[in-house]
Amino acid sequence: MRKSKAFLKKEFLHLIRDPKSLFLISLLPVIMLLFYGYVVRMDVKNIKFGVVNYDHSQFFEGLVSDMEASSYFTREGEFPSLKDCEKWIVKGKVDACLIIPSNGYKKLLTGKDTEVLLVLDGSDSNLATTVANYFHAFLAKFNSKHMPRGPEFRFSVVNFFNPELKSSHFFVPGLAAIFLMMICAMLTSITIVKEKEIGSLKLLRLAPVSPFQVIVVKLLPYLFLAVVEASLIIAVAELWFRVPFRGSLLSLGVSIFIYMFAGLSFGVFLSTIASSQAIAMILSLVLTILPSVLLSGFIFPIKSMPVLLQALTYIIPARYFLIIIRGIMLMGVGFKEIYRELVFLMVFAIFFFVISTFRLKREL
Amino acid sequence: MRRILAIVKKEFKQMRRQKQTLLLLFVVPVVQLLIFGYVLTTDVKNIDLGIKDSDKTVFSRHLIDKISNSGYFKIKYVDTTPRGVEELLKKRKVDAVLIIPEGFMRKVLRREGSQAQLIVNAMDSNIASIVTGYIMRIFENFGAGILKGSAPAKVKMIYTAWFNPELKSVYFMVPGLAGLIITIICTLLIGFSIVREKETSTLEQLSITPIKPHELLIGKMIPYALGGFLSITLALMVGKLWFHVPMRGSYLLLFGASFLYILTALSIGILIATFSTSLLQVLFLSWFSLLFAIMLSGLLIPIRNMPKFIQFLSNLTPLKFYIKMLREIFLKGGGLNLMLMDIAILSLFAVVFVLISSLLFRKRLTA
Amino acid sequence: MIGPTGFIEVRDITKEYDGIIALKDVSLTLKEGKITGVIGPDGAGKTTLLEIITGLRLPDSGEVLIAGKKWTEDSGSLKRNLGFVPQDFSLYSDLTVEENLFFFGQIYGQKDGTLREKIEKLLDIANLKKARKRQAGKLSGGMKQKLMVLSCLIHEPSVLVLDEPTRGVDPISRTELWELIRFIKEQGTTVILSTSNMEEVSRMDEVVFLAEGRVLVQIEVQNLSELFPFKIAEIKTDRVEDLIEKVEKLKNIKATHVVGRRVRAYFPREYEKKVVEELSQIVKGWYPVSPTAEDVFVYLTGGFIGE
Repeated sequence: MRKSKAFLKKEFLHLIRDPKSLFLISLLPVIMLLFYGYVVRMDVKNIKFGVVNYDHSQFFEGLVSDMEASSYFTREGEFPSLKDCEKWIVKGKVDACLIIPSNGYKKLLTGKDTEVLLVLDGSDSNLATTVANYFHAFLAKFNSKHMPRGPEFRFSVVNFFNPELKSSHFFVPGLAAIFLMMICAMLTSITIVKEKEIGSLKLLRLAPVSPFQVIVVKLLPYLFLAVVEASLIIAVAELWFRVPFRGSLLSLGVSIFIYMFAGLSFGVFLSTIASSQAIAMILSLVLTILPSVLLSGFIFPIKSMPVLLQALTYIIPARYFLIIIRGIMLMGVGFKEIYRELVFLMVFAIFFFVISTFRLKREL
Repeated sequence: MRRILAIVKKEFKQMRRQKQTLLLLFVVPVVQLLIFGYVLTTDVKNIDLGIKDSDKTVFSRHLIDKISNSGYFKIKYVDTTPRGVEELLKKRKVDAVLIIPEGFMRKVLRREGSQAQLIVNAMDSNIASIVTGYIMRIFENFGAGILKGSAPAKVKMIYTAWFNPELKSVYFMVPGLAGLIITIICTLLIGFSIVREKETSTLEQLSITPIKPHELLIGKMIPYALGGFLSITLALMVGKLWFHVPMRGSYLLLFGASFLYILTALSIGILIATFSTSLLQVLFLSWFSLLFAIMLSGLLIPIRNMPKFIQFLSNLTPLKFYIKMLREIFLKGGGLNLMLMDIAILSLFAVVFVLISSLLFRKRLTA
Repeated sequence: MIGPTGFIEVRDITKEYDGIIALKDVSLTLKEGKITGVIGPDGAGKTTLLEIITGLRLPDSGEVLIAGKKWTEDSGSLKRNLGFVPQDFSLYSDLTVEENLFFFGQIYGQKDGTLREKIEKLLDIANLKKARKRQAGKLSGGMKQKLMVLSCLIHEPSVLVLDEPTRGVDPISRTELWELIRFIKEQGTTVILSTSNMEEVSRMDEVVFLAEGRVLVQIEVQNLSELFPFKIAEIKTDRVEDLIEKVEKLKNIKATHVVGRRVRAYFPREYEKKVVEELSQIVKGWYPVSPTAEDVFVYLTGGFIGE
């Protein structure tokens, strides 16, 4: 106990003596959250479009001005033919070109459908899809307003948990998960390998401490730091971005604690397998941070990935924590809905903790 | 010149000895591109849709078939009230629930006014609106099919997407990813290499030799620039041969743009190394700058969706312009005239960053 | 090339780090073609002084002239004529012995052909031929140190500065290193080195005693004993403690010092006759010895017991 205490004190001293890192660790994630919380807004506004109107009827003039009246579309210009609009599309000055065929209105009057053509810049497939969707929704509304109403199959939409469809509500808790993982893995991934490099691990070998003690003591200061950090991040999400908080603080607290433990254990594990600090850092970047960003469902829905990659996501802690944090904050779920995720995180943490102990034992 | 060559040769020797550097140069680009090319799609598929069909007519079953055949949804029949839906969503059994009320079809056809109800888990606002859009289109087509000639005429939309008719997001992602990959490689590797010299005090040893700071920098940049070229070529080959991303533009332009960008990325790496005293700091700063680039370059998130202030800030990341050019060269086959502006900006970045980094480096070296 | 006088002039150098004085008003004139040792305990300012001489650091005030040239004015030609072996290993540990030498040679603009010959010769002198293909990081401490010296010789500098080259090196390598340094001197190179090991003074031509950032004295090694106002008698004995007791009772003995089985007795010069008489009454044989560098240093820093 006494030994551990001395050792623990040393670890805390390491942290305090390196104010630059301490500063980075404590402030950077919060600053990044503040900044990047604003970045994502999935809804597209001001879609710039050009018009080629071969019809010239009042009806279709009306359609175009209705489009402009909605907050989604901005008309950039009228062109005599598609060829004239082509350059604008290629240069990205307009996102789409709407082509209205001649005699479109006459056709409608005879009871036939008129097809308008939307030419999109598919090089940004993301944007193109969104624009097509928006235009489609616009046309549906337009038809029901201006055309004689026949029998219509309609449905009403209820957007649960996020009625205003604010993307930040979804994105900010996700960022929190990523930043927490980043701090944990990066911090601890170098601790043991550092002692290896400067040779102090050899001293530890002589000292009467067990590998278990070494690892616990290495983790504790960072766990402490990470919990403080997590509180800061959650506070920013709550107070600044006004992400709703529908669940219980207790369940979130417990979850964060377990998640941090998982991240730190994995970091220590990386530290025991890496031969130098540089490798440890590259490993932590490649094995934790990138997958946490890309394979966790942070931005890209897991369900849309190929089956093989979906399977891969099951070993990524951030995947589970994202479910937990979003569930607790946005849906107000409790332990009974997230216990499986928590169990996994726990297993993950303990697994790597034990492996690290064994690896260190061999090293000591 | 001899001195520069000496540095170049030395860097190559060291590169050869360091397996992880080689790994980073050759394996990482390919693997990353293969994985992320698949991951980074914005298509939404396999949505779990719960259906409560109280109508239970041939028509409603037909509607459900249509939904199921669309390929976007996995149908689960659920027996629930609108209030019970919350529980289903919380347990993540379904992403959305469609409730078809009793007598829906009959009432609609008789114009008695009835609506189905779609309850969506809107946590992810993006998916929520996509799901709504999918269902809306299915409903429309369904109506048109049932009513056939008897429906009133309306304005319909057809669309064509130039450069990428199938709207494959992998076409969009691969050039972006390639840009990201060389950012990582160039920035990290040169940063590491310089800080390693700091840590082992070989940099100090060099500083008393007659070598000039700019010679040292050029000598260091050449091998990593070549490495950068190699990995971008690899990445783009994977994109072309595996993902079949069309290459419509000129290779000359592609390499010209890459050259400018690699220069910029290397300078950023040097800059980071100048400010750092340890590998840890290099990694931290690189990650910081990478995150900035990933988020603001338009790689994943369309810049035009961002708030105005952030859009303005996005001009600070050179990757934005490089990715833009890569996409234009690849997909649009754009020529020089299309991207004069981008080239000018990228050149400006390259010049400014090279200047700043070499000036600061020189200062650190001689102080 | 550095001109015919080739000496190094250090003028009134002062250097502080965060308010702590490392060097205070240091002035020196160093002769060409000699081995000058900068001697002092850890923290005396040796490294700072050497780094200022090599232009690695700028002094807060004062200046250094090497053959009349200043670092601030003509660093290019100075660099080409200078070699510096720092305290810590600072070569590329992942490059081999040969590759390191080759690299530094190329940095100094040497042609590959002559470089190859030169490396061959140097490896031979330093007895490193067998290790030529080994990575520098995997060499023993002494070999690393020799390699560092070689890498600084490759451009044939007229001034070679070594910061504690023998620290932490085993006795055999230490001897080899000194042979190397002698060889360098014989080529006409001016050598400046620092050490905290007083025993090495005998291998130098001139020493500079440095303590707490100040120069205590600069003197040729052969004249070192002149600074010491005492004479020393060394007595061999099997019973050291008895002897000390006896010797210390003598009136004019200022201090005693035990070296192995020998007792050294220090006495002022003017009492030589008396002491000789007294001593011969107690002991059979004794020899006069000259003071060691350590004696002189301790005396100069005021730590001599007898004072």
